Amino acid sequence: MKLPRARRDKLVIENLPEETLIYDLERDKAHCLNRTATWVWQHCDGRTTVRQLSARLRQELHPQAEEELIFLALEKLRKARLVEDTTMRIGAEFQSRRQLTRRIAVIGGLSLLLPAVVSIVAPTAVAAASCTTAAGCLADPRNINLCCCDVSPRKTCRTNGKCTGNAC
Amino acid sequence: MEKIDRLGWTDGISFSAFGVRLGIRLNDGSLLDRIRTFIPPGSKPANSPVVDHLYSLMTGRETRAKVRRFNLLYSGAGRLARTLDLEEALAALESDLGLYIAEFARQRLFVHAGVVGWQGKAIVIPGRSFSGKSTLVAALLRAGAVYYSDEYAVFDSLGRVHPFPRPLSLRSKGDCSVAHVPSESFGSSAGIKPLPVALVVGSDYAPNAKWRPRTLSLGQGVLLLLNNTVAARNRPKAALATLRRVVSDAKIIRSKRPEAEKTAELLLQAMLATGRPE
Repeated sequence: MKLPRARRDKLVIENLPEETLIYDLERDKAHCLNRTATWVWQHCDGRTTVRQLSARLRQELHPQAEEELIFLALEKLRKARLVEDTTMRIGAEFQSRRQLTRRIAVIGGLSLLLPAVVSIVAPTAVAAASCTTAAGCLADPRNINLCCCDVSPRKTCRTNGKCTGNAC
Repeated sequence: MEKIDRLGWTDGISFSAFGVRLGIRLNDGSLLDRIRTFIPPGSKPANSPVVDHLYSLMTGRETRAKVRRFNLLYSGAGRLARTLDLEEALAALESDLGLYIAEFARQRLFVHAGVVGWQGKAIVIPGRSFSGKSTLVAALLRAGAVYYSDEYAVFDSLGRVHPFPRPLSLRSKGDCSVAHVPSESFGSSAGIKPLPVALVVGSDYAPNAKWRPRTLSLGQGVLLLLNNTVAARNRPKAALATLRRVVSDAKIIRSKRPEAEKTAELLLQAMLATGRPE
């Protein structure tokens, strides 16, 4: 099975010592790839096979690393839409993360190699802001989701994420 | 906009804040002093009438009995508020003005967070509304920290955090009412110098929670801050580059937190563990 091609368009990439941060301009999502996910993503060229890459994985990252790590990374990259072929089907040899985790738990140090992709949806300006006054909460309809519950006919307060039922 | 221009403006101010030029025009000059208090710290008065964005506040005056005159607030050409309560209109102006500056500031990156200084380094507590930031900042001030902000962490391109010392907005329990309390009330002074960040704390208050901090990686720290960055969608490239510098020498932790006073104590202990103070 050949690796898919890594997506490069409309991405902002920031490299950290052990991780890679990627901002997807199309979907306004930000992703943090750990070392293994970064390594696999960087090798997604559409030509190399999984078998070839797993040999390199063993050489460069861990001598006991298994092919499943690559499949797991590919699955995470596919879900994050960081590879071009998002419809690819991972082979039958792919095991679930839980199965894989169980297997590699017995191999010292290998759990650190588990690929991880942490994602967030970038906030809109309003979502990132505070509603600091009750009057402001009422006056600006965009604040409704922040500190008021829109319960007709009266808006009521939201405290610690819960509607209290008190009028603002 | 032309229709709004014709409404009869008698007074106004223009200023520059963090690279954004803003104007506010009024039909009632007696409100100017009040409106000046909305201008964020670090702003400079501008002489030029040319601005990037203009607010227009038309206050409704009583003319004839039984005629209700609304207070109208416009942001550019769009109406932001139409209300009989002037305080509502002013609150909407204050809120939107702050948000506009935070979103379009050219020289700084605004992250929704509380910030205090401690022995020459900063603790940054990012979080959305109602996550308990201001309460925690107040507790840290009582414990001797220096006040930087309870609303925005203002970062420069080197990743240092600058003071944004507005009065703390403390909500009373059970409703939306907010008291604005100066930092001096907590026996603390406001910071002056920009500080490097030593500790980034992701925490939400939960009654009876135990403090079990989990250390996050630098990348996850950047995501934690980006998740509260006002201009995250507008300027993602600058945001990622700045936030990377912010976390480069910082410890990043995340936990549910107990009461603010206890958490403040624990955070200051964590600061001691981050290294030698400057």
